[in-house]
Amino acid sequence: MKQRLLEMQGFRDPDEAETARLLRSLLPTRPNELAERRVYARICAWRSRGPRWARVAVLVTVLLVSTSILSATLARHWFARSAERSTGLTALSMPATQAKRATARQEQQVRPAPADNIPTSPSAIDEGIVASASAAHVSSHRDRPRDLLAGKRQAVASGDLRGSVEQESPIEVAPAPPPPEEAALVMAALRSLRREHNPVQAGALLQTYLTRFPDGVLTEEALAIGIEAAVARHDASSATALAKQYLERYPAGRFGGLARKTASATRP
Amino acid sequence: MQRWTSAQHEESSAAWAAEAPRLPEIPGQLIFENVYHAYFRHTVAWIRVLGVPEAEIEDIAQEVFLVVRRKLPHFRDGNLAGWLYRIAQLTVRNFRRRAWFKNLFSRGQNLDATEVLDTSASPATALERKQDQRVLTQMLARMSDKRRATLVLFEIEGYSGQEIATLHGVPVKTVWTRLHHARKDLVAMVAALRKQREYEAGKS
Repeated sequence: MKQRLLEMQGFRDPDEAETARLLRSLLPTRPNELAERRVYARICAWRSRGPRWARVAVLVTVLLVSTSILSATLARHWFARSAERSTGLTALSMPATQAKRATARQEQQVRPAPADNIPTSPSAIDEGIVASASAAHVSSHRDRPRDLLAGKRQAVASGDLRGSVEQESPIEVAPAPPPPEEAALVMAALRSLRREHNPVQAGALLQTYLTRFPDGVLTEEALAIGIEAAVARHDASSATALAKQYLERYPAGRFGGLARKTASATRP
Repeated sequence: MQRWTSAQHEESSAAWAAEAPRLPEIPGQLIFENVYHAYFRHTVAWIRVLGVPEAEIEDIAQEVFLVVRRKLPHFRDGNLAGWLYRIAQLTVRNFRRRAWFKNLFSRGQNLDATEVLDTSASPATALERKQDQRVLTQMLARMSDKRRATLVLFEIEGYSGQEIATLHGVPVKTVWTRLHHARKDLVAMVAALRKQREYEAGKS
């Protein structure tokens, strides 16, 4: 049986004596009947919250459900944004080839409204829009020489842009980017026509564009989409008028074929 | 079924107050009420030995006996005290884990047993005792869990070597070895503290 340090007397080592003195300062646990009764009462009143596995199962279920709701919400948001981008708004920040691919993908998913006996070429119009939009990317590219950009902006200011756009490819030419307001209107009209199948709204938007920006950078594209929208809503007179207007303004335009076919098909 | 009577309770309290605690024997079938009344004080002492702050001891004791109530029907081993001690150890470990998380986010402050005032002594004595308790608690905190538990159970709580061996589930010789090393560590820490104080006194 070992003797306790507390009970030892006459230490030779002063450190041992100091250790014993320190140990005496800590009192042993005293019986506390009040605490004993209190804890017992609490234990008797304790109601189990069910087995542990059930609690874990509930917790896991709640976590799974909340995670799936969160991820579904985020995915929906992300898909909506990426779909919006692929319709063209982000084409402003995409290279031309990539933008074309995105537009082609979208076309496969969203088919245009049927037209009456009139061959329309939505992809051609889209290509034109994307090409114009991608010009913004090209022009904003840092590697592009500043003098060329300055020259293009000057050309836009003097109204001599059309010829240069028709002669050169978008990437090589780098025309001035359309102002954001113009691009937004045309893209909204395109979205209404292709995605929402609402040619009436598309026509209204394009009419707004043509009224506000009669010499806008995207006038040619707006007229082309307007022709298509008019055909989609079976408005032959508007389609003919827009086609004639297009041919007058752009006799050698990119969408001349569409305009001519529309004008001839809807001729009385 | 034999219930824990009030006479037994008083007898146990008197024995505890008069001399070192003895691990009680519970005759017959184990029922929770008897186990609770026989071992509550021991459990509180163990929880304290395991380093739980004074303010949390009651809550931890409640957690321990909730586990005991749930698992007692499945208890088969003969070492009831060792089984209870193990439950107390695991509950304290869980408590420390929770406290660590709680302190991480709330900057909580651990309460110390030494903060409890001893009203039986004069203010000067109480202050000196409090200072000693703080120093001793800091030294004990630097020791390993096994050595600290063995030292405090033997030196302060008054358990015998055999009882500590029963609680820890180890041979008695292991208890003496742990106690020897724990004492050696403690004396070394006290010596280091004394040297530091002498150095600081000489410097000033």
